[in-house]
Amino acid sequence: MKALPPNLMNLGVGLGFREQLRPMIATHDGEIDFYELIGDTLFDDFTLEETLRATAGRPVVCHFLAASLATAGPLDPEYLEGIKRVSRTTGCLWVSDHLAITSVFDHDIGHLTPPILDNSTLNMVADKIKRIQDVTGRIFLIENISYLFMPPGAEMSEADFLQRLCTMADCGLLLDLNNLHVNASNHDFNPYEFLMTLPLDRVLQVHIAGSAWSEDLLIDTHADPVPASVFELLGTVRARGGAGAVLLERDRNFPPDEELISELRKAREVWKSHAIGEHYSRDIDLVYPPADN
Amino acid sequence: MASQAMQKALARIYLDADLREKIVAHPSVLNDLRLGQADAEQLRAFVLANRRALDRFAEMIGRKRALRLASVFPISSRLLGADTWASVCKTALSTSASRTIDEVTLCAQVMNGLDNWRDLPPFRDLVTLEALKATVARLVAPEQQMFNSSENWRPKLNRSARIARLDFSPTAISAWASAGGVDHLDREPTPVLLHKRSGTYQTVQIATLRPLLAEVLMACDGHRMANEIALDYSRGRDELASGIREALQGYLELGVLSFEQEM
Repeated sequence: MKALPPNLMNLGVGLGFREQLRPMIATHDGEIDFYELIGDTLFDDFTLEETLRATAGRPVVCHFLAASLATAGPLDPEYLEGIKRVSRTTGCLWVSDHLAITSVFDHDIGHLTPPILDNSTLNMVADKIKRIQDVTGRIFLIENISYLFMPPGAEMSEADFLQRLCTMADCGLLLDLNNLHVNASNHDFNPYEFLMTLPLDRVLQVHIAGSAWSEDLLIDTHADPVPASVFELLGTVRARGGAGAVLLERDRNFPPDEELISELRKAREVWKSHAIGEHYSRDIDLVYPPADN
Repeated sequence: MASQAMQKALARIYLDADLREKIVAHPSVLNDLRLGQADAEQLRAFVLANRRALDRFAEMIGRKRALRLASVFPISSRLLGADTWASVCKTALSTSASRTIDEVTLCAQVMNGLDNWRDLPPFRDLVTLEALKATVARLVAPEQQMFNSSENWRPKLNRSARIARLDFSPTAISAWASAGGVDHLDREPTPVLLHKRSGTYQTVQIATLRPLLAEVLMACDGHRMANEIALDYSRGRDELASGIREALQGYLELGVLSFEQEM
């Protein structure tokens, strides 16, 4: 077992890189400790080079959207090759994707959908994560999604599934606090009880973002301000040894720079004030830096 | 593991409003989904308990796809205006809602949806034109393929590629746009290729084809050998046959074609 390098445990407050945010990034780079790149947009050399140029000098992590880890069957070998190539070219600190199904065999669903939370899915997803970690030489973080329904056939709760998955795959957790907030609102459960089930010391990164009500449902929009309840969840996770990296996601409805800066500063304030220490060990067998680099 | 049949059934239920209705009204439709009795009953109970959430989810997917389409065709969507563009997308999305569909097919349907604006032919070709610009900006490195022969393979048009036909030439429409519009625009049937590289996310590429090349690509059914296709379409001209073989390899590297290796 290896301890996580201290710099990775306290990466700071970052921003999800989006083309529309380039001007803001160029002006306010000092407010941003790291960037999260959407790996799926970097499969072509042109975009990859342009993106790396824009984020030069800052650590990056790579977030993928379409590995569809919970789809029955093996990983798409070409997609896996893409993850490998992007992760190595960017020199990212870790890679992540969702506990979700985005495609089934020949067809794109076009959105993240929840998996059937049974033991066989658990084993299969764990094997796929191990494979990604082997191929990329980087730790993998699994992210919780927001959902309007859960498919039938579940044998355990989402929190139990994530906890067991992290242990089985020896991976980290990318805890999307907005998704947790949205799910807790829509499905009427206590998000703090959910947090207590998770191995919070494996939460290397959290996502914070905004949501909006649509009739009686709270929708994970990534287009609205981060609500206070999400910052409160951040404080709790941070105080219990997680959230070494906090990432603000904004995909649409981009506000003036000042508003995003304000959210980054608010996140930093919570992140700093709830820190429990500079260094602590983690029970993660991390392969970092990659053996071949 | 959740069975493949179950996952397929769920994917269809997420996207297909008609199927959801049928499952509620006529449970026998579940027999067509190749599920066991227990799974079928579980699935029907799931649909009954989550009808509203499933409808909302389908709406979300529709909106997301419309946004994606607007990002693939930014100029066209702006020029057509929000209402017309929404109408075009709605036509495509309502068709695609009845089954699972990939983004390439969806783009092809948007282009077909533009057929309804026959009196506005420039827009239809503008879609192609701006997508061509995107293609030029996004030239990709050839993939490393386990390809070890120039001739003994059976090319097959990839599932993420489609060939469509436009009524007007993008070149003509470009001239039309530069001139600020003219009274008359000749129809000039033009085949176009839409494709998405395997593993990429939401980036559909579009390119015009010469008619002969369109015919060649449509002949790539995974059964006929590359050499056989090249000879058939070269009409006895060795140089042309060689060009066709090279073009097929080029499309293989771009992910437009996959292949069946000769045993």
